[in-house]
Amino acid sequence: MMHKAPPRQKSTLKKSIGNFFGLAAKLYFAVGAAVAFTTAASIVAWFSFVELGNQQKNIANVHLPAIVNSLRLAQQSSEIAASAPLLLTAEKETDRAEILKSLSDLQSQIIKILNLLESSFAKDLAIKHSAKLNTVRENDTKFAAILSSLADKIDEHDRVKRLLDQAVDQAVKQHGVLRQILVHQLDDRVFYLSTGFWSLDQETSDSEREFLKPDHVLQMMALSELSEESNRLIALLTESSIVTQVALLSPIRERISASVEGLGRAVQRLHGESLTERRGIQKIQAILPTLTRLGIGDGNIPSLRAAMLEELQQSRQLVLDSRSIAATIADDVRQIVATVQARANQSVALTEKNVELGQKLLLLINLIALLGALAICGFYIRKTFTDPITSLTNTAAEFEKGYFKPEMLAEHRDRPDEFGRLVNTFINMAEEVEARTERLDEMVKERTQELNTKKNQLEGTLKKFEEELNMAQKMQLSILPHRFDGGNYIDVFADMHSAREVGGDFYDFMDFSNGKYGIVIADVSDKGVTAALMMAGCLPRLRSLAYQGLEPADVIIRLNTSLSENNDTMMFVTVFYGVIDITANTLTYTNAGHEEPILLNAKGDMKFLPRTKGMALGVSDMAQYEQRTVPLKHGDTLFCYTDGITDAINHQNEQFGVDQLRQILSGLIGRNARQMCEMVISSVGVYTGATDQFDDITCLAVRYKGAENKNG
Amino acid sequence: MQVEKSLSSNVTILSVSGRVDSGNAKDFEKSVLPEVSGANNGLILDGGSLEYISSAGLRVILMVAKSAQQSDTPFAVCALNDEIVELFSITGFDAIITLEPTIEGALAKFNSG
Repeated sequence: MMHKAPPRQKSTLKKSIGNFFGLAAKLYFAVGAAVAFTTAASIVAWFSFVELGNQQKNIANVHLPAIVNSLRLAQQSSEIAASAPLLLTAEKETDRAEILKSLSDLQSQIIKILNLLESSFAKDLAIKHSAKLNTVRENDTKFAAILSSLADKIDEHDRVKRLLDQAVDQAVKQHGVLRQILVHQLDDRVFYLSTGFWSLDQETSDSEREFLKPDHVLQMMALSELSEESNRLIALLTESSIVTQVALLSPIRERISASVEGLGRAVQRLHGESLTERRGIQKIQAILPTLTRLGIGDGNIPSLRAAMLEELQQSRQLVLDSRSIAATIADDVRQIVATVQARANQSVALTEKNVELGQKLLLLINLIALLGALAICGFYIRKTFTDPITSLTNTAAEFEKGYFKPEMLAEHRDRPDEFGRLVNTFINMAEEVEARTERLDEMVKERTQELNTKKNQLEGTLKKFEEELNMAQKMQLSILPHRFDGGNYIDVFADMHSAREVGGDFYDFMDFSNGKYGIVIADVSDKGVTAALMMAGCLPRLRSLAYQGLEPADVIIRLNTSLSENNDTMMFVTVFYGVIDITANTLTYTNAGHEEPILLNAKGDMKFLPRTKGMALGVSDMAQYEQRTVPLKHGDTLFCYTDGITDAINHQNEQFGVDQLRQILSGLIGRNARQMCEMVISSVGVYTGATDQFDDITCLAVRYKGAENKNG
Repeated sequence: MQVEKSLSSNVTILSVSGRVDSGNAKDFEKSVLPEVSGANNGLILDGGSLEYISSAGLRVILMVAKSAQQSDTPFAVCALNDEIVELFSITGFDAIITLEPTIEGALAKFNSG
């Protein structure tokens, strides 16, 4: 209560600030921080993936077309390289033209593809690889030039060939004409010269014979020589037109020159106008210049052939050049393809590297976000939420054990949030509870003291009560007879075991000093103090009446009248009262509602004493009673008991019963009264065992010894 | 010990079962004695399930009988076992308390009387 005021003021002051920095705000802040972390990580990841996407686009838009184009370029250049040699082997003019055309097409396509490639690499590789591209371009141009000059050479070759063919034709024609002339001139003469005879069927004229004159023969020889030389010349011309090596032309030309000279000489030998006219020498002379010109003149066949071979040589060289350039182009293109592939591979590798990097980056970002969230949880939330709760819990636990330590909460007390207020409220409540507990402790102490006092008083009272009960028990027992002196004639003993301190059973033995003895056994309804009081009121009255010498029935009637007065509680008492007369050897008795006593004789015969009219005492003052007298013999034993013996139960709730009592008694014949009582009581004790005794147990035994003594 | 109450022909029947001894005689008294005042047409104590009754229990029955007598209420104890009938016989209370072997017999007697 004393510490209550200051903290409350504090908490009121901080209340307004607490609204701004409340737990909800802090929680939102923590969650917000975690969200911000994650968002930042996501944005970074997004950017890195956009970059990756761009690279992928670059590959798709630049490198793939470049690869396709470079491969096409490679294909074209390979085709050129493959087609170029065909030019050499092509036989026909049309084939060559076709091959040239297709080569030109390929060459122009290469330029187109080169342009495409350049535009593909406009940003990236153009500069790096322009040198190689330019080389290809230059070579391609060169190739085009070669193709062009090759076409020219082929044309030239064709032209020369035509000329050659014409010259050869001319030579053959001239030679044919010459031969016609010569054959005609020489036919018969050659035969005659060979055989020495003209033909038999031909007239041999003088002129003919004159023909065989020496001049004539010489002319014939010259003609023959002419023919021979012309044959040789045409053979040489023909040979020169088909010779395949320029070097071989020179000796052929010399031989042609010699042959032409030979022809000249042969013509000179053909003199004589007549002969000349006759034999067409003039014609021959006209032909010979033509043949000479075809052999050694302008545009002669060997020179044409030489020119043609020259053209062919150059064409061959050009084809070789074109083949070499095509190979160079193909080689360069291969390098370009390799570069493009390398570049593309590089790009793909870069992309892969970037993807890997992106994955690692993502992992790192996630890790950082996770660590950030953990840090937020571990430090911020712990500091803000967990710590104060733990402190509160620990303090509360300590408080529960009875040790209140407000200093445990010191660090949370000044917090400007709900926990701060909670802590202050808790401290206030705890202090209040502590104060109340102290008050309660004090009160408990006071009450305990009071209770102890009361308890002591009660204990004193109880002790006193117990003492009084003990006294009452002693008093009750003192009322009962302790000495059983029946003289020589009667052996008597009685015993009572109360269920409580005081009981409701009682017995009595009276010596009337006139040879008569009174015996009483009684049982008051219920037990305890009430029963004891009843017994205490009953026994003296009975004694008083008995000692007056009244008959048993009268004693009982008077006692009943006395007890029945104002008995609203209906307490009653069963009484057996008997008088033994040793003179008459009789027992006179009245039984007021009590269990019939058992009479045993010395032989062991057993019978119940017959009931007498009447009921238990104290119930009705109108009740009537009678008495009976039975004879007694020496050795007869009268055993009186209360229902405490027959109604005793064992642990199985079974009653001891009158039959068992009779059985025990039958085994006790000859024993004295005391032994009989003790044996019966101990048997009941054995039977009940640990079961509580719920009723008073009382028995009285009288052994009659009178008749024998008297008789004996 | 248990006591159950029922009505038959306006006669109150109290059925007691178990053992009645000095330990529970006071309870027996409390559950039986007050019933006399309301049972003008007769009161029957049904002892069919009564196993044992001590002198303290007999005292309660005597009180009930006396109370019934004072208010002219017919009263009978029915269906007792042989041992308890013998107890009534020994104490002589059968002379002042009506014992009937059956409830029906008691009811018949009430109606005829």
